[in-house]
Amino acid sequence: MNTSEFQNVRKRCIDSIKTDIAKSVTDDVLVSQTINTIDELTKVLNTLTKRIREWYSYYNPEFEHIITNHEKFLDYVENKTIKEIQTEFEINVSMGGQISEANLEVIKSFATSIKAVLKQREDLDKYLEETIKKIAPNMQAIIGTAIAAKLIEHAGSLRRLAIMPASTIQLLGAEKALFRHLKNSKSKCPKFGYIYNEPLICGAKRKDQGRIARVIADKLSIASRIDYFHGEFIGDKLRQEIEKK
Amino acid sequence: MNESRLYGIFEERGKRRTLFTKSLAPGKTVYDERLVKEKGKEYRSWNPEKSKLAAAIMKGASQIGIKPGTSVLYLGASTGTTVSHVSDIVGKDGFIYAVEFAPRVARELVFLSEDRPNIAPILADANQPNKYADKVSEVDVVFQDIAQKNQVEIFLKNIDTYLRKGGFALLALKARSVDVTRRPKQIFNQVRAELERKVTIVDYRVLDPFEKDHCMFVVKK
Repeated sequence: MNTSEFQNVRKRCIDSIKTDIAKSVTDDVLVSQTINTIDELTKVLNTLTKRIREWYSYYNPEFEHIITNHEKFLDYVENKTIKEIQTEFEINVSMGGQISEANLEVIKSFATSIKAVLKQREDLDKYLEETIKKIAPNMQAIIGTAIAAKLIEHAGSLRRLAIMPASTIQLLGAEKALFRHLKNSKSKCPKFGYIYNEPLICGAKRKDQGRIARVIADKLSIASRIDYFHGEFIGDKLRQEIEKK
Repeated sequence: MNESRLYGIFEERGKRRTLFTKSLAPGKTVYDERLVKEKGKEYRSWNPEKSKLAAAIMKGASQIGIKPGTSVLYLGASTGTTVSHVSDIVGKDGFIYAVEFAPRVARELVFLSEDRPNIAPILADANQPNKYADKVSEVDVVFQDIAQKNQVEIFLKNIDTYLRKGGFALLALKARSVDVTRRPKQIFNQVRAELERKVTIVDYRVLDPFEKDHCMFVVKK
């Protein structure tokens, strides 16, 4: 083959790879991008809220100490003056320093921004729930939105999750521990990955956790296959079977 | 900047040896490599930590079969880090079929091949060589960097189908994806025996310390 023949092949290749890549975008992308965004927003929210609490506490430490709920805290900071808050919470002698209106304004606008991020995360949570309901209703019924999404994200797609054996699903997210065990038999084999966050497992006795994880992974594997092939909804039945055991 | 012992690959010898290739698309970087201008020509530094082929050369591989004008079938092209350097080496008279299976990374590969007229990107599973038979012709060199359990089988299949007689083939072997529980050395030896049944082994380099538990086989059909 000479170079001009190659140029023809190359053009054909570039055209066909472009359509192939375009076709490869499926609903699974929505799930993995959304769950990742939610995780990252949660991290960011923690960092930012810690920062604003630290900042605000120089001027109104007693209030910062009393209110542990972040959302409430932000509401107060955004909408009320320090004086108003102090009368409401009956703080008579404060350790807080003096702050000018202009300087307080900066903190207030920071609070507004954090609340916007908070709202964004809530919206995404709702959106994720609807998406999962559409593409994996059976898995959602068994293990809930968040973990179902995590599993799909980790497997790469619903298709790949459906192909996996139940024992693999049981350990998704615990690869590090698994390989440590395989390389060196002194460390114990993990019994669960992401599915640990299911209340049935993390609330169980230590002794039973592995057994429950196995049962749930079995049912999940069935559910993921039904979801992938758009079968009927039997998630509630599967869930009942788990709870019976 | 001097040409090294390998045709088409340049090097700078200071305290440390650095590899370079002469850029086919001057002014553009592909990853975070350094661009060096000398006598009106532009060279791109080649990082052995990021490219297993560069690592093999740094470890002293004496024959890689890739030189100006050769045609290459590259399996496991990923985003095209190594592919871009191979493209530099083979130059205008050579060409590369770059096969990659994952759509996400293949996107970068498409951008790369639009800049470089000697790369044809293909989205396909290297495990089924017949799937891209309508695009790929017989080549001088097969290069493979795929971290799969059956990477040796894939390698031999593609050599059978596409490599010309007397052509070279390079296999970057990742021991951990063959079997994590066994010692890398054992796996390397087993693969060596497997390859020897079909082809002649020309060179073998362990890629430590650039790449852990990897080695590079250079074979001839």
